[in-house]
Amino acid sequence: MGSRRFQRHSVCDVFRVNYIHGVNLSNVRLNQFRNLAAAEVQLSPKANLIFGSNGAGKSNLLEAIYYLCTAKSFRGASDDEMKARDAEFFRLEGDGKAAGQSVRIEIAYKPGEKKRLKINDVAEPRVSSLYEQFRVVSFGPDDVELVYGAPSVRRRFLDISIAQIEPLYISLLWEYKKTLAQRNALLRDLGEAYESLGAIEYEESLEVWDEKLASVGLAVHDARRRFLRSVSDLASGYHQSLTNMDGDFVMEYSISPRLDDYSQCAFAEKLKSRRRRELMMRQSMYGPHRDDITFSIGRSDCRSFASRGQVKTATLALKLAVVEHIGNVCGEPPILLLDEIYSDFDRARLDAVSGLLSSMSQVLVTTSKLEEARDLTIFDNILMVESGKVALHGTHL
Amino acid sequence: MFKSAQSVERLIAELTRLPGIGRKTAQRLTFWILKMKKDDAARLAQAILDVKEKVRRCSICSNITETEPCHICLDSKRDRTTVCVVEEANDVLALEKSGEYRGLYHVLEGALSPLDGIGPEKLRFKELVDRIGSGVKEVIIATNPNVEGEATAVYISKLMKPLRVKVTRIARGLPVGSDLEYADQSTLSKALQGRQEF
Repeated sequence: MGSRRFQRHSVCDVFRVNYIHGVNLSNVRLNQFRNLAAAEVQLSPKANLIFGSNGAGKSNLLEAIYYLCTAKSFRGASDDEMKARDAEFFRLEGDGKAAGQSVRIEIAYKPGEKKRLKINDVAEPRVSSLYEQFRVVSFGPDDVELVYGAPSVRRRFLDISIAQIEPLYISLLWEYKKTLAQRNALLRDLGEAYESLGAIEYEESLEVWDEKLASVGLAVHDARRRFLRSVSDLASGYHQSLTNMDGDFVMEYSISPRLDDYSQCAFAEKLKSRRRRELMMRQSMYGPHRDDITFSIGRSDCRSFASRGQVKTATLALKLAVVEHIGNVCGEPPILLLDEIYSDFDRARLDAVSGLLSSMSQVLVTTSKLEEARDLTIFDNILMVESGKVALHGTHL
Repeated sequence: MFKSAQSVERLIAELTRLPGIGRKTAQRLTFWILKMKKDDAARLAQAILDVKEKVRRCSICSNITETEPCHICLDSKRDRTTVCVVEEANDVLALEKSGEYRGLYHVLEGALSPLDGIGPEKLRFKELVDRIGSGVKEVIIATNPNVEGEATAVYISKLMKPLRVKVTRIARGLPVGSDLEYADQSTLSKALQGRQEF
């Protein structure tokens, strides 16, 4: 099933040769990153297995690779948390291929300073340019938070995924953030006056920020809607092939504010009609910063009705859908990082997963129990992580 | 830390307060000034005092000037039917350098920014409205193309609506003489959105 999935798309067939040997990192060097004091890792462009006991540093290695692609942690950790304790800085380097070209990334972080980023030995002031190099999707134990966690977790997932496909999305988000901060400052000031005077002062200056919030907000909505429309069909397809019957997996975008027609005018009207409420709360109550996604299986909300196992399968389907979507849009699939999947899934699901893995580009999988991955012959590079050291174990188990 | 003579330290500290100047640059400037001839140093000091004493804001457009009104507002050859609204006086300088514009200016002395406590009452909007009566046919909004500048532009267009005056916004686009491939993506996308028939 898995290998057939990509063939469905005619565009992918054209790129197929490139596609399979698409984006990949071949060599990664880590310095003072979490418990990995100094390590150099050679990776295969296809399937890599990383094994080691719990706490050895397997996930940290994946996190480092994710960081090389996005300058962010897939666990939502801060830069300071990722720096080795007592170290002054951390530093990551990676060599690889993207869009058929050799690419070298270097990132260094020292507390109190800006991240230093170099792409192909040239200093790059903007982190956003990193997003156009190596695209990456991760899946791990923390991803159940996509269902159980706060809405901000889901918005973060949306934003990082879209940023990898649409380079302009980052500046759009940045513009929205700035507009929101200005509008909130104004609502704070006017809200105070509103409380003591009972009247709205300088209402026209609020209108200006309403319009700005609406126009930038709508552009953010559009990008998120486009992304979810493509991904949700793919995700329910993957969900079906992983479970065979478990009911339809549906994701629904709940947009803030809810409108009958999504135009700048309607958005601004909505803000106007809720002005008193916003003044009382002294902050912006509507807009993409309040967006959310709901997931359901067979028409019941995942958060309340699905088992933890079902949620894991659903989020894996979602991540695989993102992999395929990025592949469709960008012409080559991203690097896929799978953290501890063997302990989480039963045999049947794992077989389905390994079927899918063979059609991906570069994959890195961690496991603490080697025997669980033993019958999976797809791996052509096996690494062992032990108390912060990484060693090559070979190409066969 | 080693400290040099007190007066040297004081000059370094004063220079550090200037925008874009850190301690290292301040030190370099200070030691340069130390090596200057006394006349040259006096001229520099006098130039600084002169700007503070002689330069003020034009009562009409708020541009910086030594005369009242400023030489632009005074110039009878300039087109009095158009007013170009800018955030700061140095924007006037930049536009004047282009030599393209022959109308008058209006300096707002900032842009709307609630985060910095700048609301409409702190900017020269009222003065702008008062000027429209006297034969102005077009208001060109030339505020910066950032979040605050755009919000200010929307505010001006709302203010001008009942006054029946033509309101235009300067175009956003590519820097002339540069290569398309070096333009950043936001600029390119705005330039595409604002394309014109050829």
